[in-house]
Amino acid sequence: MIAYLLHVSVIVAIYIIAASGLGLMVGFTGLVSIMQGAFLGIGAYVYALTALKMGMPLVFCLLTALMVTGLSGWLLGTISIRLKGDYFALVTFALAVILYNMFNNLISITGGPMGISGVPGFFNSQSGFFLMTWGVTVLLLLILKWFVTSPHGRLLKAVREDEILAAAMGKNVKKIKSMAFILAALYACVAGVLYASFISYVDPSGFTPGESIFILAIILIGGAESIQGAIWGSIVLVAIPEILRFFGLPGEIAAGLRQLILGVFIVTIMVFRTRGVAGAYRLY
Amino acid sequence: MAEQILANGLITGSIYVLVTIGFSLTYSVGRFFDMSFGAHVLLGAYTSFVVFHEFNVHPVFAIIFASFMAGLLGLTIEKTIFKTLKKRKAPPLVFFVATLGILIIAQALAVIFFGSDSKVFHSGPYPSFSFFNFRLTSIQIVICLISPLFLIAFSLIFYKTDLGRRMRAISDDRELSNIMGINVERTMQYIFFSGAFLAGLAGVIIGFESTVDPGLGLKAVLWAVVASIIGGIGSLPGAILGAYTLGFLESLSTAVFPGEWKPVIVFLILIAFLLFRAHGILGVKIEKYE
Repeated sequence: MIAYLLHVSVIVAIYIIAASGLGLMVGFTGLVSIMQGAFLGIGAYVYALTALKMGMPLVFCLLTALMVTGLSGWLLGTISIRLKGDYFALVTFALAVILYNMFNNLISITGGPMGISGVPGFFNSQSGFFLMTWGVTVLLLLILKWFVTSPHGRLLKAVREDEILAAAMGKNVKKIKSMAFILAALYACVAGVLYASFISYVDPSGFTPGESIFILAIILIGGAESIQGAIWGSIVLVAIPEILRFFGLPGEIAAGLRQLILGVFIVTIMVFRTRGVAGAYRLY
Repeated sequence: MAEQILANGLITGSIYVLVTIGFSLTYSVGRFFDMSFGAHVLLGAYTSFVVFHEFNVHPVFAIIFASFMAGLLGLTIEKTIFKTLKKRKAPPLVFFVATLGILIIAQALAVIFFGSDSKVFHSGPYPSFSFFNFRLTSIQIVICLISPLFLIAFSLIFYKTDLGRRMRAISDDRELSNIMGINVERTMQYIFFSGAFLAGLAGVIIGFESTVDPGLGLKAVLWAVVASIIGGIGSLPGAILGAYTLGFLESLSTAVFPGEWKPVIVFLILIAFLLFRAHGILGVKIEKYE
């Protein structure tokens, strides 16, 4: 039982990292992106490949993953940033589908649906992972907190509230948006690396477009423009499927039920309370 | 070989066009991407599956009944969710995410009630016929006849009747139409019903032509998204052009590249259009830049 709870809490921590990064984009900068799962995948695959195929020290693998993901974030961000609102969301979703298909099809690199197994982790014990993951989570959340309360954070909010005015005041809106995009990607990368080293197996099923929708849902339900939002959202959205497990429903029905609850949450939040449970930013 | 590619493109396009029309029309009156079209396709597909398999009714009845149910779903969503969001002046992004949620609900219900495996309507291959240089199965011939039939019927309504004129007026300028005395609410209901009806029809056709699984909804609405963007979103000719263009492009890409890359190619085309010509081939310029 303890082992199970430790496992679940590590997963929650990983989602918190990924979601809080996305929250920076969605809540503070107003850019709704549906591709966070894909960046998790990039981080996970780069880490797995450098660790396994090149036998580099694990810290270097992490750094390489960060660099590759950061670069992708910069590249993909630069092309997406110029679109507004729902068009931006659509492009990110298209990119999520493209990246997922690349994970699945580039069999010589990623192993396709079979994935990569035996990925080395930082620790061998569960409690070690537990401490490390939560330690990283707390650290990253503190960094985020510092960032949003700093002048940088105010710049993000300025862009969110009135882009044209911000530009008129001389702020480089493109650069600000790009910065948020890359930061979100980097957070997703860390989450992906932790995930890969914890599960020691990387395959495309963890980085589907549906996964990206899930992470977005965490932010929307938990609350945008709020760091607690990412925390609460992750806990609730990960806990519910786990609790369902104890009802002994057949596998597929449980999975369907989980999706159903997710869908209902998304619609409810969009219609009644876009700032989510604990958030401060309302979409309308 | 080339003729087969064209033929396949024609068939694919004929299926896509049924979903794209409603999707594009919804955008023209509501200015948002309605992902719940995937739910309409799923409803049409699974309803016809149940009706056809469990109750063994005649295919024509199954088609009409299933499409009608999908139409009702579209109507219901409009009366409940869209009306509420519109009243509160929600931005298009919120509509997009909300309809995504609706699609997820539909997909989840499909998994719960029918499982995630593929359903087949008709076991065994259909009789196929050879033409000049290509082959078509009997069902594919039916598709190539039914779909344009519905297209023509819809176009006639859209361009030649009063109802159609009202639809065009609303998509042009909603406020002004209201002021001019058009019952916007009622006309919108016709639009949403017919769009969903056609999408449900597409679902039924797909069921007869290949297989149905819960993931079909998302796939179908993504076809509509790409087809609308390519052809020009918000316009009926654009929807038709975009759908058939997409059908041919897909058919072509499958002939040239390995099949599993088709989604990547399709979405790269989408991104290219979004960045360089978001109003598509036939559309009017829209504000999609901040």
